[in-house]
Amino acid sequence: MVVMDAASQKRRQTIIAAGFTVFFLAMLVFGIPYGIPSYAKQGLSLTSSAFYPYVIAVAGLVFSVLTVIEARTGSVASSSGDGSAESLPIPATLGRFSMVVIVFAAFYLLLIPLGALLSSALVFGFLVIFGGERRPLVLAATIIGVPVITYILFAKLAAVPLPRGDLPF
Amino acid sequence: MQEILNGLDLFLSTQNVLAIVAGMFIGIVIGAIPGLSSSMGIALALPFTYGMNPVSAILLVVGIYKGGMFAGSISAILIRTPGTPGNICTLLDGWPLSQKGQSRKALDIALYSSVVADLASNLALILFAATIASFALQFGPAEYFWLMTFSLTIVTSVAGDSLFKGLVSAVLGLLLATVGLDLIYGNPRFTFGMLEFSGGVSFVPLLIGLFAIPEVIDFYLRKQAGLIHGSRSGPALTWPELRKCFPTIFRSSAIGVAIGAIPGVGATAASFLSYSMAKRSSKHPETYGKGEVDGVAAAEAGNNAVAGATLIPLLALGIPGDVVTAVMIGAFLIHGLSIGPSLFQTQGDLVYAIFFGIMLSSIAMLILGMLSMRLFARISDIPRHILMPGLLIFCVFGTYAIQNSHFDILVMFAAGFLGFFMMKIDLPVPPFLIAFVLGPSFEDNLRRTILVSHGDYSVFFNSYICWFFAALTVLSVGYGVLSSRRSRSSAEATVEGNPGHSA
Repeated sequence: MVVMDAASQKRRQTIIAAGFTVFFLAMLVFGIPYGIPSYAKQGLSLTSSAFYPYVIAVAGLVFSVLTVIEARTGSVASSSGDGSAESLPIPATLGRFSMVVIVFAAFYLLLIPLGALLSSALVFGFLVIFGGERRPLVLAATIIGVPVITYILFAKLAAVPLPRGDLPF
Repeated sequence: MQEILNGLDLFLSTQNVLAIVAGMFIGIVIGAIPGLSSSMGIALALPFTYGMNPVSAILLVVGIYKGGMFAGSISAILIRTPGTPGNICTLLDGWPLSQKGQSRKALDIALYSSVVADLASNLALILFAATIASFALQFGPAEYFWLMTFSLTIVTSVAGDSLFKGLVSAVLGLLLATVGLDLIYGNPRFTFGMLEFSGGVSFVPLLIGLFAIPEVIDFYLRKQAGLIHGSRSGPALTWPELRKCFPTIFRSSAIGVAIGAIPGVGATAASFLSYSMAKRSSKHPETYGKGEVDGVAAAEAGNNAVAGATLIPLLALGIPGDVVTAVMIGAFLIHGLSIGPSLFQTQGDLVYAIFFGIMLSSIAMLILGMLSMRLFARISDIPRHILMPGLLIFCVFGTYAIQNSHFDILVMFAAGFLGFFMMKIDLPVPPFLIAFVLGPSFEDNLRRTILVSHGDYSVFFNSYICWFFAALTVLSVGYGVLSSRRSRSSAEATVEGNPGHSA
């Protein structure tokens, strides 16, 4: 079981809070001037487009500084961020995380060319096998059944025009 | 009296009863599927109402609306994906209950509190339609601003262990809500030239991404992404447990009715406000968010009480309270009915016929809810290595279904990784989402008030409604800070007693 002492927790929470402080500072210095083109013309008058985001970012900066102080001075009650008894070693976690990113990206990219039904069946099949299912009958039934039922529910019953790809369904 | 009898006569037909039952059934199915909304269901059903009599047509769409509102809790409890935005709060305790193997209990309390709240809402609609609607008409930008400010203070209740972290999360939500065209001048903000962001970040993809996708990611990062078999639906709700929730259900119903009668506020705010009040009045607030039955009751009573009350401004004044009631206007227009005060004068018997049907809808909700829950509760029994890929497909199809946008899927995945990241650094998601929902309305009313006042800030305090909500805001913030300090003190005492705790 991964055990994190109070000092490590405090350090971790401080780093997270400091990260937010840097983020809100960056919003004030770069984000708002570059993200809101009208800022150059209107400035920060009360009714300008940039005024409200600016006030919010200042509030965020204040709260994140208070979070840093809280992390440094108080005790941290709980944390879920560092894994649990089920946690994998860091390289394995990164490997699996990369796999999840690739699967999501593949689903997104294949949806239009392959269509909703085929792309979902491929993704579903891969994930079910990765999840540990090896029984051929269960695999066949779920890989065909789940995507088809979901497709019928959305495309036929709810009349949602899901991407069809080059296939005639 | 004669109009009431005429209304009863008009209502008593098999077609009308079937219409409300069918509407409720369609609503429950649609509501339980993330991505399919009541407004979408009503829009799809409208063409079918051409051949119906006006009462049946309106009862059908009312049934879809109410069924959808209740059924959103089913997916919130079972798969951590709220069916409608109004069910976000339900998952705060519904999902932990499910994880403890008590999803049946969570579904039971969601149904019973929804039915009671719906009944209360219907009674309010019938008894106070005109009075509440005229009160709601007194709300100007300044009153709305204070109402939104008060609603935003809810974040102090759902901030979790650290109030400041909750506030940081809320600020991030407010900031994200500014993406898109500025509401007053139409200037782009943080769109970086992307047309897809002109209308802002789409809410439903964000919602699905923040809640459902992190569960999928987390599942595949565990050591054993393996098979979990066996029934997890657990025991049913007992009578003592239900009785204990009655004060919460009645209070949340009252909050939902009051919020629902104000156009534009909606079920999400009512649900959060009800949840917040329940937590604050509880003797054990620390149990909220960890699988508290009372929390599910509060959230569900709050959002379902809005359903009937939203019809108050619609029928009495012709003002749609939310998107769904705006779509519902179509059913009235198709049958040549002009909604508003004249409807009560010229079509009094029809209005009462609708009222009778609406009362019946609560009974239909109870019966159909009980039947459907038996079916839906079995979702908990599906092995997670099959449920998770299925959930992913639902999320992708559901997100695409909203506006047939491929880009929305990208937003959903991005929100999923954001939600996962927030989960890992203990940044609470509910404050982020509350702020994102209320942000545009908060900004809009703030800036409109400033523009209208021409620099005279006394406009923020020019009515007793403003003072009322300002006082509530101060009280709410004060209470939130105090309870946060209390909870922190007890947490510190726990940590001091156990310095090396598992992470």
